[in-house]
Amino acid sequence: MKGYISGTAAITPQHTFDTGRYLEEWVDHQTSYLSATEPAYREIIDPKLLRRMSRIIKMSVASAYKAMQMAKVEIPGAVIVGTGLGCVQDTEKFLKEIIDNEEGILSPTAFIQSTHNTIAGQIALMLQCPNHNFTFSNRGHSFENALEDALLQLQEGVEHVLVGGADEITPIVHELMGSIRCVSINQEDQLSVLGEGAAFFILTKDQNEQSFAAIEDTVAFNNPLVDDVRGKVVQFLDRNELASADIDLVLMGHNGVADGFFDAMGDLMKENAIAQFKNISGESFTASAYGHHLAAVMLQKQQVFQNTLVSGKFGGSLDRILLYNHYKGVNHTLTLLSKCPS
Amino acid sequence: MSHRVFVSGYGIVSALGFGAEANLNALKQQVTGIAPPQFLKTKHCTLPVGEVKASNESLAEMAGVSDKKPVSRTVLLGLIAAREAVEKAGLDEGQLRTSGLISGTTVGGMDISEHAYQSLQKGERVDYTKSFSGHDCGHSTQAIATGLRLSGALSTISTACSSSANTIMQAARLIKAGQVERVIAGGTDALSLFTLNGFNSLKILDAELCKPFDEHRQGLNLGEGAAYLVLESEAALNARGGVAYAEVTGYGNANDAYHQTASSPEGKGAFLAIKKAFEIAGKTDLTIDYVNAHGTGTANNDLSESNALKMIFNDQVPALSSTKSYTGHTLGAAGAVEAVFSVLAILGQHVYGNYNLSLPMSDGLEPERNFRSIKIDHVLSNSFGFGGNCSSLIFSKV
Repeated sequence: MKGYISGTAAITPQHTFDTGRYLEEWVDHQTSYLSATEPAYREIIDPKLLRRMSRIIKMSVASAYKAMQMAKVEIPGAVIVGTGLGCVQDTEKFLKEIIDNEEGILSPTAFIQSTHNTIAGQIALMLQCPNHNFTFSNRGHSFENALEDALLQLQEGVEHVLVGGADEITPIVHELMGSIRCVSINQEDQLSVLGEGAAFFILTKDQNEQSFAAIEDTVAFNNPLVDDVRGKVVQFLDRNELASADIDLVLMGHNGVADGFFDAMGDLMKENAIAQFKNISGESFTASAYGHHLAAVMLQKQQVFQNTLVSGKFGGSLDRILLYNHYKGVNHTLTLLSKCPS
Repeated sequence: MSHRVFVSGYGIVSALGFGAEANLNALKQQVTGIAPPQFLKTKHCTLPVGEVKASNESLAEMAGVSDKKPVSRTVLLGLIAAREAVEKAGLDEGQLRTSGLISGTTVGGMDISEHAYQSLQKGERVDYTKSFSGHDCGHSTQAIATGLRLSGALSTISTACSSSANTIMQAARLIKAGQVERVIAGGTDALSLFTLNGFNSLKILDAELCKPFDEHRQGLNLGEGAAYLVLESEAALNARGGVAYAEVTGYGNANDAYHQTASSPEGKGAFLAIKKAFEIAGKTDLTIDYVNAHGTGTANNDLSESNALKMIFNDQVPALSSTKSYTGHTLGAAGAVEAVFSVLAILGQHVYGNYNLSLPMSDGLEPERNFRSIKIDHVLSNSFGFGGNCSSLIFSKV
């Protein structure tokens, strides 16, 4: 299963939406979680529609539109979205109304927008796109499920697919996730920092003029032991007929917190240049969507951006990037991305 | 290479009871499971719902969950139904371990987190770890996989009311593509204040027992439940000597692209989904003998679905009924609940009555009044949801 990346865009806590100035300026977040650095949406989305959209919808629609423009695709052959928590802003809003009004007369607006597939549904509605429309919400594999479905669509003969991952944070979600020890709430915590954003892609079945990178292969697995990681990586490289020396950059989802899995990966790939992406995206159920986006942009621009290289040396050219991420040690991901031959 | 996809096991929990047999008996005897809520603590104590008649404590006992933490009914219902499905299939530990699980749900652990959130709003002390860590949709899938000791690939689909129809479609696609051999697919959703008040705010709940496809239908009744199918490739099924109860021959998903919550009057998305399902089935002579409709009982859905069906079947619509006046609308579980009913219809060569129908819609269809025997080779099952999500499945006799 292979898919060509012919367009991609991402909104993250850093400046990633404007590809001309990609990660040039670094935003220092003084808050305990990383909120998205959002573009001027009015230039991208019809202001009449914009008013009713929650942030996760705005971030997703803007990223999706931009990816489609890059790929010169007007109506995608499928719309597939991964989101770990879905539309939490509207979910919270409606829950609060239920409680405040003691189940009295309620406005349905927040409820209507609260379902997980509001993002994919809104995109279909705005584009008048009648095609396959799926939403996955599967913890740290929400985006991976979506990506697997996208590649399956291409295998089934669909020309191009819009696929993305998105999650938003509210102060209450942040507080709750901190309380359940999923993320840090203060700087002393040895836990990951929560972030939010959206990353969308147009994947095409065949390489075209717009294609700049390819997803060669991807695998998602659960609950491995630290000792299993080496075997999983070797097996993955083997099935792609590659050795670790063929990888120009390893992009990992570590974030400065002690972690046996990333240590094992770092040890296995110690001869390779290793880069990180969660200092940009923060941690979330769909952080890996951004990891895939960053790998694609690096391959496109043949550039390793500031604040990403962790160890080793960038050799000057990028043909293949191996992405490795895990969420809470449970949901693991390996993806091989390559530069398109020109 | 395209592999055939067989249904080799099924399990169900709904307002009609626990297990396929109890559900079938209720459908045969034409007894509805819809009644005022006994277990959901809501101010809307007269609104009829399709509630599973058991407390969380007894569900936990049935599911074999001894956790002291509050566990969502979504997880408990899911575990009970999924366990029945794998037992029916006769999977041994090893076969189970390598199976995948694709589960659908709309609100996941909301039934627990809405209470914790309420306590939080009121400034009461809550132990967050015990409630919010099970809120997200993916949690129930992981919990069911752990309960079944399953370590294959996991996936969770959340496309509103078509969620579990889509899990069956996804499993069939993966098996057809030769990527997996065996998948447990279905869905689970518990009643919650969130969904009950949500549908109430949309003014589409019937204050009485719902009347799908009736001229004077007033809306839907919410329900809860879970259902799972074991789906296998022909090779995997033969290798272990399993039984094929039915075959998944067609599936299709399309978007209505009309409105976030309402369906287009002409049923554009529904029409496209059914058409795709026929294309996948790939047989021009495929005659549908029974349609298990989405048929929620809302003015909008039943009109839209009727129009789509009339268009697909050139006004010669096969035997048709909605079973939602028995179970209520079980949201993310509905597609799988009705998939089990479809498989049972094939096995028993019968159709279900469209309970509580008085006067069929004037410009609509003539649904079945009663449970009766007919010859069935192919069943079409529809599921439509918010976000314009329309899905259709075709089950065939083996």
